[in-house]
Amino acid sequence: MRRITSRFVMLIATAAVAPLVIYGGLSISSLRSGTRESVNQGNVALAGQVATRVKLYIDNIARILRSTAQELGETSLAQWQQSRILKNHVLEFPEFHEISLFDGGGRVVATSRIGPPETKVSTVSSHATQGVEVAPIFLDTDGLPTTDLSIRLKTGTTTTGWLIARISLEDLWRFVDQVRVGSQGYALVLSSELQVIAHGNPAEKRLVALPVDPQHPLPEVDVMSKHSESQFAEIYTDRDNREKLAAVARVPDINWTVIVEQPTDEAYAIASSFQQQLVAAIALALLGTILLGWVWARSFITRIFALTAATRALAEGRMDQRVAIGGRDEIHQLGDSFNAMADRLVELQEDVRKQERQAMFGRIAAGLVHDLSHPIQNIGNSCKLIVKMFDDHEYRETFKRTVEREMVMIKRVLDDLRNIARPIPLERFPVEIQRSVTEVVDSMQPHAETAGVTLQLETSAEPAFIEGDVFALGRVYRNLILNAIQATAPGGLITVGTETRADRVFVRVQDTGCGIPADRLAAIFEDFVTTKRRGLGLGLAISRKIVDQLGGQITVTSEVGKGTTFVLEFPRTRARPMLVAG
Amino acid sequence: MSGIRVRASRCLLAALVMMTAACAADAPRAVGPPAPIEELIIGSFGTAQSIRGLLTFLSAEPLITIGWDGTPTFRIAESAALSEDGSQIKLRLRSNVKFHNGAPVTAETARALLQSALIGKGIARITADDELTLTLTLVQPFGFRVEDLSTTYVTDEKRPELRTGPFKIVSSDPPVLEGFTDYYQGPPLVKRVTIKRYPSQRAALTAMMRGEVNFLHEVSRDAIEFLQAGGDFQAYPLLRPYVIPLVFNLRHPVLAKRDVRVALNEAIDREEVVRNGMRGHGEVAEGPFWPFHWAYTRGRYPSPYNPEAAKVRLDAAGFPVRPARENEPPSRFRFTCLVPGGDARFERIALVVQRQLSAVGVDMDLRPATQAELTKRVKGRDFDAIISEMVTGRTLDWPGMFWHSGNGLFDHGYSAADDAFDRMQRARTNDDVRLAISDVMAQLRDDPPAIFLAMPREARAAVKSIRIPYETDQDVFGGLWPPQPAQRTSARAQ
Repeated sequence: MRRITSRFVMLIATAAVAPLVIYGGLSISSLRSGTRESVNQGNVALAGQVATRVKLYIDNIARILRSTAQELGETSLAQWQQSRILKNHVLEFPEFHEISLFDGGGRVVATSRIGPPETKVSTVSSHATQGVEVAPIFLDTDGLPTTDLSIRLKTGTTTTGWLIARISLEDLWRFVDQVRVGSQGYALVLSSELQVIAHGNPAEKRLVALPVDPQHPLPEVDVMSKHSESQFAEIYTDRDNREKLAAVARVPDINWTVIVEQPTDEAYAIASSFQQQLVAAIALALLGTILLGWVWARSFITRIFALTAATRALAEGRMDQRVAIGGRDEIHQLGDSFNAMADRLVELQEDVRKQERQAMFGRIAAGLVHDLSHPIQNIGNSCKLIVKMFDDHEYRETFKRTVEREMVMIKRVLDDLRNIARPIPLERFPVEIQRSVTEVVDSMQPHAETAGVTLQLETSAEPAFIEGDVFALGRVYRNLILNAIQATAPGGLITVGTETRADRVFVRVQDTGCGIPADRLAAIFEDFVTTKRRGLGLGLAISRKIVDQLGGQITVTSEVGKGTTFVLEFPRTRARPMLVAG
Repeated sequence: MSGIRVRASRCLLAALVMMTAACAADAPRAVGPPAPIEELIIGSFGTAQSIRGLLTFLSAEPLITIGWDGTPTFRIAESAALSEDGSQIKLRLRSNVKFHNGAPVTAETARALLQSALIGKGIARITADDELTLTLTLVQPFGFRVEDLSTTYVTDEKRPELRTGPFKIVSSDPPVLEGFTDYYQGPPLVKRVTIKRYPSQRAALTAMMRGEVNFLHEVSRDAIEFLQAGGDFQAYPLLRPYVIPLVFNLRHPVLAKRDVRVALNEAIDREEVVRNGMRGHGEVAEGPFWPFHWAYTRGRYPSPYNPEAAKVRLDAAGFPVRPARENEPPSRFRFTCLVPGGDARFERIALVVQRQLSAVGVDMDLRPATQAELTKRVKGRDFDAIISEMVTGRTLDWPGMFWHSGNGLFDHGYSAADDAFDRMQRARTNDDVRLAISDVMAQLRDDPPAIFLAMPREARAAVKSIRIPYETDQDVFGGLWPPQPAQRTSARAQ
């Protein structure tokens, strides 16, 4: 039964579960990589936008500065006019802390400051955007990052002066502060010298006021160093051991870097959520499939099991076993067919029984007729003769003997009939097996000679005793030997032997007769079973009963055409008779 | 304001202390109990004198303080009353006030400590009537008011243990204080205070960003928004009782002319000064008075901004626009204005004012000056104009201290409002006070000694982990010690 269950499991597994699992695995993998890539790209795009804004911010300032330079350079202005222009620009554009005009020698010509300017002409290399040089970021006297933007003023190829502005980065800070990704994602801006210019994370804003520490660089710096692209995403671990997604975009021309960082557990939360939902859905589908398959299979297999059990019960003889198979399918039809078959079997069995009973009764009657007709005939004949020869004393004696003899025969037949249905009264006492067998063999020699067969004895030398009834045992031996004589053709051999092995005693009756067909062998010890044309067929049944009651067993082996061997096996006894019987 | 003459330096110190006290002591408290603070590390910029002022504010306490609306609130004194004839003020001290050395504050000890602070400054004599009662005999009837006691601390500068404030000085250099557990209002919220000095406001801000300090005493206008964007910090804006004026030296040949000064007032758009020059962190000033004083009607004196009228007036005053000269723009006239050097707060305001004056043809040449130079030039009357910051205070004393010709603080040559100030000083009823203020304001309008530009809104700042009760524009500093219901009693008959 397990095999069909296994087959069903395999069927469901291959037809539904395996494809679902494979599909689910592929889907999850694709979803995971796809959504993560999507998040990465989204954050990189955001970083790119921020970088564009930062560039725009600087470009805007640069544009203002260029137009200021143009304004200052196009017409020859008095110093007070230049100063006024610069002051107005500072007032109009809060991005500027100060703007100052220097001559070619680096001397102040005009400034927006009331006092001397803080800026000066510098030879430090800068990055340039839109013709404006952006100085490296530095911390001002207050410890906050700032930078100077410079425009070289030329007449032809000659540098006639410089217009230098110190810009305020507060607007940039405000803008960066507004950049948010989720609830924990922030943006930061690094200068080309890796100084934090702006940081949107309130907890990290203090980094803006801290100078670069080459011994303890920011982990973001390490991320940047691994790539040369202008935009990329990278996962890294921050100083608090938290995994973060860094989306990096470089600000062109001025070589600043915008990093949008977000903890990966938040960045990929949606992807993880999708993944979990997909896993859950697939798991549910799997469970549903398995459950459905199990329910359906169970209903299918259970009915088959029921049929199998009913068939087995039927085979074991429980003819009243029926099945109730629900449904309307073929198995239901099979169940109905089974029940019909069982009903028919019962009918047939009843018919067979009737026939067997009739056959048995016929046999019994025939056996009785056979076994009793002769003695009754003899008695009848003798009765007829006694009427005529009543005066003959000798015949009266003969009549008496005949009647007594035939009455014994009749009584024996009736006793056999009676004993087959109840235990045979036996007396148990130690019997030497060899002696009892020898005596019976000796008594049956005349029968053997008459049948033209050889009856020989093979006994073991060692005497062995069993607990038995010598008369009943003798009957058994005689029955077996008689059967062997009847089954053996003239010239055949019948061997009766005894054997002792450990605590068991064996008596063997072996002939070279016609043998018993195998299909009859199993029933040979049953009541009213006989291979003879006549007789009740109780001999072997009674023999087995006697052997069973004495604690032994009788077995038979036979081969058609070669002969039959009956073996009696008894438990050996250590007891010894007070008076040896036999 | 005859009879009240104080030395400039002591007055300045008192101003600093009073400013902080007036700002903080009576600020209405926000609801909810604040959490105790182990240590408050204050980042402060400014002079050593300002640090001393801060120390005094934290460790000492006046007899009374002045509330938001200028009314007195009792501190060491629990009551004060001016006699009917105006010749005496009777003070009743609280019974549970102790010095930092544990000794109780009695009338006798207070009398001894108040001698130097009050005698000769309008008070003729101080007597201890009983254990807790003092009588101050005035030099002149009504020549001294209860409010004038707000700058009077019961202390001896040479003996720091004789102070009664919520914190006691552990060390002066560096400045360290500890909470005074026997403070009569209960132990302060803060257990320990350390003051660190920085060369500028921005430097102090940077220090807080680095975690070196957890409280900033002053935050510049530029940094307020930046601080508030940084989630770890909280800025607490407050409207300080200061005014930023452009003060004229009335001895200047041009600025002496009243019409010129009126025209210059008309040329200034104060709204833009606040919007552009102060980035919106301020209020337009109407005059030298604290606009929330109970006797002052705010909004009654709107800005006279009218540049076209200014031009006409200047033309009529005989100052047409002259063509440009070498290195000078075309202008009606030119004067020099001193600006505190290196202080970004004033530089931008000065630029806005300069531009507005330029629009009406007046060339104001801005010159930076250090504080010492400013003081020196003011004393020597060697200036045309100054942009600076002046105390308005929450009492009516300060305007008179600056704008009465006999003040001795600022010798600008202005005396047009002297009578009005005197009447204000002598006023006996609230109506008299209101009338006097109105007269002063009328004089200041009619003959302005300065252009009163704006009132600065600065801020204090703290790390967010420090929870302090706060109300808008009030000084959060006062939330650092336990709140007590303000006992407001007007010592003046209604």
